[in-house]
Amino acid sequence: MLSELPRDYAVVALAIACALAVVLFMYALGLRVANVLHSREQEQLRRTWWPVFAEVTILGDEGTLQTPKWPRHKSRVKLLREWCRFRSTIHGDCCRNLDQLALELGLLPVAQKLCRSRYIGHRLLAIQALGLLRDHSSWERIAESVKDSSVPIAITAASALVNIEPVSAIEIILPEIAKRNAWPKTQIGKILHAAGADVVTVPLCTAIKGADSDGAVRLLRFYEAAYIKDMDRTAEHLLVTSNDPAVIAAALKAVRGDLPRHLVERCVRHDTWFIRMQAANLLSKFGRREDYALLEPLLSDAEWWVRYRAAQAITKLPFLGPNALRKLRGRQKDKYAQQIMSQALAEVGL
Amino acid sequence: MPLHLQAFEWFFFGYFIVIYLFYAALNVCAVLQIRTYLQVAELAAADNVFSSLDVPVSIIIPAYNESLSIVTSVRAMLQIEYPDYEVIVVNDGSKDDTLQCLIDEFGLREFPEAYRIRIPCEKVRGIYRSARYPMLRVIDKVNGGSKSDAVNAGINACRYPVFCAVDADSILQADSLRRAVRPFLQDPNTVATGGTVRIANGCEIRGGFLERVRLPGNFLARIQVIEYLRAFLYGRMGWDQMNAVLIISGAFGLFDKEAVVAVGGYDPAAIGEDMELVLRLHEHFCKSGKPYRITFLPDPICWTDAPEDLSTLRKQRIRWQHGLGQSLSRHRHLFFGSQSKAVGWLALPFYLIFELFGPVVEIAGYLFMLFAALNGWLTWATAGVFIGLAVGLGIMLSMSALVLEEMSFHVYPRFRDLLRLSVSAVIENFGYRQLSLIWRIQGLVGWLRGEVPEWGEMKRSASLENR
Repeated sequence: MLSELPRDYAVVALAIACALAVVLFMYALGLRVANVLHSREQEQLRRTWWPVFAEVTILGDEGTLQTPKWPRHKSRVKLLREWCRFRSTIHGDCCRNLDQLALELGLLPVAQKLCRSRYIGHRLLAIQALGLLRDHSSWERIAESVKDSSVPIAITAASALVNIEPVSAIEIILPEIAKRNAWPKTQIGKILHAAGADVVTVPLCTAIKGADSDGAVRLLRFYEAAYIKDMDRTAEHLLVTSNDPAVIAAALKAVRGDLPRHLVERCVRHDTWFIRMQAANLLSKFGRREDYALLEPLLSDAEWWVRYRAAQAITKLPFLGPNALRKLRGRQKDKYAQQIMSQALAEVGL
Repeated sequence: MPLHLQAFEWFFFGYFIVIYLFYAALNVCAVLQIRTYLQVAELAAADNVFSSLDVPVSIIIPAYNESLSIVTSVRAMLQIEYPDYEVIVVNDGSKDDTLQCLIDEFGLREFPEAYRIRIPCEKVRGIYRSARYPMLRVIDKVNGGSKSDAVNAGINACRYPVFCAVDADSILQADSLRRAVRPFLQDPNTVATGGTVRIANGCEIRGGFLERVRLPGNFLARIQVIEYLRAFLYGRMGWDQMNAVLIISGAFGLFDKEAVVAVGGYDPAAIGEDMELVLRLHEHFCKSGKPYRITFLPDPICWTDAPEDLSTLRKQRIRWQHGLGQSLSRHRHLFFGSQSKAVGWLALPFYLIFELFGPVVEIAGYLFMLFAALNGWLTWATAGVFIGLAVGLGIMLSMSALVLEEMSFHVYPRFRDLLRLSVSAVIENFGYRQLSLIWRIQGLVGWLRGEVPEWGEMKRSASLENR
């Protein structure tokens, strides 16, 4: 029974709790010491190697600095990390010397080995390094990683593939972008930008046309990665063929050039408010005299955002001067239209 | 010992074992989560490029009688590293010259904004815009009697899809917003995210930003450092893995605007408005069956002033417990609901049994053991085992929070800090913990009796006074 526990038990219980607390304290202390040592080693590596990386990048073989002593095995991963950090900050032809140095230092096999690690941090580092070193022999393994359920692994792999062979990479990446909602759009944008509009435009436009509604919406977010004309044509195609409001709104957002007037008219009168809002936005980009008649009724729209975008679009029309804009506000009978015009005029200092 | 007293004895032992097993499980979850998080965060930190695809954010700062600090706070907000954001200060009918300070400092002019009311709030008297800082707007409204009403007024004025509610006296880091917005970029189903709130007492703060981290000199504040580590690092980090985070601190939280509007915004009548809103979001999405994510970030992104005197601390703890009781009772239908997932089946029962009623059981346990030992129903040794275990396990939990801190961010850089924190982690279990349990029981009783908890005047620490 609990109530009959001998006195020793109390002492033992207290001793165990205290001992565990001491162990945890020692562990915390150990972690602190390890962290300080790790930081020092990292700092030492950086101080030793970054000047070498910098000189190799600029001067190639003509550099005067001696390559430091080959680090011990355990530090090679750290050196690889430093190399990746340095390499990620530079672009263009000057990278060639730095890549050559990494090969000479034997960092490629280190990365290839790390790529099989179960430790996610090592895998990320390895995939990044293999991409920067354009290691074609690791293509298959990295391409598999694009389908990995871990988003950071998949995104890093996608980026690495683009570094190795952009044309083939885009063919692998685009279906994944269309399929996977959880890929961060900022990073996808960066990857597509790195691949360049020459490589991205045609496959992206084709993928958008061939995707289902969700996929098309996801892909359309990256309209800036493609050439304007091609993307405008793709958006026009979707505006003609799709009935999905999300697709129509995304297509309107992607238009940066021109669009047939009948399509815009249809969108301005659409039942869905965010399509009307995007249409008003688009009309502000065109600045055409004939669009004025489409925009004015939107000032009395039931939705605040449509009224606001229409008012902003009207203030941007190049042929309307301050007096014309004030007159336009004065003749609005609807209270909300007047309010929103006042706000839009105040925003442009009128 | 009589049989029914033996049953009590076993109940208290069992309760303590279960509560500490639960905490240990949360700790393990947190360790696993934090390891992966840190490995990935290292890469994300290197990937520091802004683009047009970043989510624009509206920062809402409710201000009531903040004339002494509001200018510094707003200046700090205007210097945050983020590509696209706006700052909305809501002057909640301040009786001092908060509005005039803002007008003078930032060149504000009254602006004819077509203000739309999506969430009901007290009447807006005027909207001001800065001539010098286009991203700054000030909403002047009639006092609504609560911070919630002011934030709701700010939400109505938001232009961007994500808003960040910040206390006027919160201290941020230049990269706080960039870090906190990451879950919104990484998962489109994210509807809310909060980060670790740390204690600002003792830190060096300049221009509204944190310059150097230091441990508070005040003992009470130092103990709260440990408490915050426990609550945030393994408390919320553990729940995050199950998408069952119940609290996003009012000091700094990011929310999907449309989701918050859909649930009716902050409740001005709620005492713990931050927890109440998160619970309403859980309820809304659980019922609708739509996928959603409420995330917790372990990164230290917001620093706040902790009370340095017992009277203020007592009022704060009573208020927190009152708010907890109110939030749990309002959302009682989430308990064990068929669609409630981990929130209704794990987190809410945990908060009810161990956080709301835990103090009663723990104090009752101490008293029972002492009483039983005094009456000779059980040996002093058994009472010693019980009390020793309770205290020892408490020390262990605090120590494990310290270990987690060392594994992750180790923000207190000096060895001396680690030593002082460890000493505090031990000492807090002798007296302070029991005192805080009594305050929490007072909060619980206050809530059950329907009393309105006191706010009291928060005396600023020297760090915040000199910012």
